[in-house]
Amino acid sequence: MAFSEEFGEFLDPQEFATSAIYNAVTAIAGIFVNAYAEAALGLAGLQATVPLFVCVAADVDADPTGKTLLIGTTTYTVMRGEPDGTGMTRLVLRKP
Amino acid sequence: MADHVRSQIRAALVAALGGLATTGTRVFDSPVDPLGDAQLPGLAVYALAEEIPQVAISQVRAMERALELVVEAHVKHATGYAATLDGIIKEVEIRVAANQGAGGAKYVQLRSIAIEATGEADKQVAVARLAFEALYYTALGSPEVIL
Repeated sequence: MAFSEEFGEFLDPQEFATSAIYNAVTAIAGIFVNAYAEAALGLAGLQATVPLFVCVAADVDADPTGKTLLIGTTTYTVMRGEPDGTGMTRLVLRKP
Repeated sequence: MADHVRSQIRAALVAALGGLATTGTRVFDSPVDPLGDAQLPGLAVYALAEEIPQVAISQVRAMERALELVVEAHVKHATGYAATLDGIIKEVEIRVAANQGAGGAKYVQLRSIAIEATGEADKQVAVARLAFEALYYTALGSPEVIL
């Protein structure tokens, strides 16, 4: 029996999820994190964050590279998608 | 008592690198904490290793010292970090060339340039490392006095 799951139940914007606009037209929901991550370059390093958006893979293109994702007032560029094989994907984002 | 000459040279280089077109007043002396967005694009100046060759077997009165000075250019850009880094490298090279006697050094010569970059961040982040050699002389037991 094939594994089946309703991913939308995990991505309720009324709870932990965040609403976003994918590629300027499609409303999607996902888990947005933007945690601190020091870039270990040079002797001192640079302060940075790593913005990520975990969503249902079917909500975005198979290759979302170069698409946009509007979260709040910030329009991120999707640098790549990282599908986890269960039907979810993690979008690696970059600030404008 | 005056600072060690290596400190004098480093301080002179920090002062000389102020006011460049790209990095402005964001020149930092030997930082160890990661630079934040408000400090970018910026320069970090370090005095690192020093080679002091033995010039004679008999008692040495003067010490020849080759100090490794490192200037790191830090940038964070949505795109096009390489062009910005190259521009900063150009500005630093020209400014250092005009300050060959910084802190009493006989010369400050560029030895190498290396670039590190990553996209694993909210923007592209990159560092250019410019390694210079500063030659200077001190008397034995008086490292704060330039010869």
